[in-house]
Amino acid sequence: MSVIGREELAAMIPHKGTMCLLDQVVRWDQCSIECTSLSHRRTENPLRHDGRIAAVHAIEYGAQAMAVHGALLASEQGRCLRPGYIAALRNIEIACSTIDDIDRPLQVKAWQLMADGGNLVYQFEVKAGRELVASGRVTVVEMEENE
Amino acid sequence: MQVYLNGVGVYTPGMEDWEQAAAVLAGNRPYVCGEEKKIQLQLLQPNERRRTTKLIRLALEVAQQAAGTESAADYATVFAASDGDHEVVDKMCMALTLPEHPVSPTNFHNSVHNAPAGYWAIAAAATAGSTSLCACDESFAAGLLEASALVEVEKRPLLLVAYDYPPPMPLATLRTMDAIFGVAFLLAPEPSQDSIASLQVAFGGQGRYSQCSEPGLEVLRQSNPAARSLPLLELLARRQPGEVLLPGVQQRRVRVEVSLCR
Repeated sequence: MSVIGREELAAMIPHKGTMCLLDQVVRWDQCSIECTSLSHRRTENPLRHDGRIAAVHAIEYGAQAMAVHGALLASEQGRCLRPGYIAALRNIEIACSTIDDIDRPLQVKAWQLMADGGNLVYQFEVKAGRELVASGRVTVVEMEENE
Repeated sequence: MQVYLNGVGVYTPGMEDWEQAAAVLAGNRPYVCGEEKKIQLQLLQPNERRRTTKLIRLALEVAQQAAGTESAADYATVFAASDGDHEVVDKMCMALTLPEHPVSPTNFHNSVHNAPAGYWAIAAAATAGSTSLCACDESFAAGLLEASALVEVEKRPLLLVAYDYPPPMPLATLRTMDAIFGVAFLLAPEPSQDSIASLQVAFGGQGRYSQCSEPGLEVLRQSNPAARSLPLLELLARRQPGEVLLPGVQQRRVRVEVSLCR
């Protein structure tokens, strides 16, 4: 399986421009996905507030990995993924206060725990090298067509 | 999402446990709305019991019925109520109109939405995860959805408790609720000898939601958010496999398919 680059990845999810936070999909299978990103180092990252990026935004990195995984699975089945929104977070662990000062690329992993159509529960983990940045569980609920 | 139903608790004046409710819902006994009685909780110590409100006692009563006596401490919980404890809101609002705003510490303590879950944790010595949610008139369906997803993901038994108590005046002029109703389900990820039915729970879709066939029960269903569970309870009481559509969040339905285990 070849690495999926930023352009192809960005086309799969509703997030546009610099709000598409992931750079690459390095590996994925039916149950999980692994992405990398250096967007936490970039000055144009829209999640910067007073110049810093709070570590809570690592959850958004996890959720975007989840969205890309959902899109990959859907396109494999010839379907299109309807947009969803984060409905719940659980067991969130955040190991540091900011992420813009992490030199290394972020490794963003997400595992599917449950899928009921576009209603999904995933476990995610964001790491820099061996260091945990954040982990937790995300529930995404898909929008209805008329929403 | 597939879960197994291992226990049911029901409380409403006239149907004070699952056995009584099942007889009425199966059509073996007429539904007669009874007098409200004070729920006698045995499972709390007197000093904690003294601090409970009617809503808390209702929630704990059905929780205890569904959980039984064994392993209650091991169950994760989901508590669902439409607008929380009106009695507490009323007393606190009244206190705030008085000089010095003498809000009672007990009322303040009980004013959080997860107060019933807290009393249950003390009563059952439960230390597993607990979620308290509200979704107005759709609170039962939202609770069932949350509970099913948790059982499926965490692979552990869970107690779902849905309960609502009518507000006192003058809040009653703003929020119509004419009946007292509580329901609790003990859910498990795998079938066992205790399993009554398997429930296939899905979110989404449209369609006409299920109603009760008997007019008195249909009035009850509409009179309390937790009583929106009645069409599902009817299937269980009649030991009839089938499907119900519950009014769910944002106009979407929650579909529950019932298959019997025994």
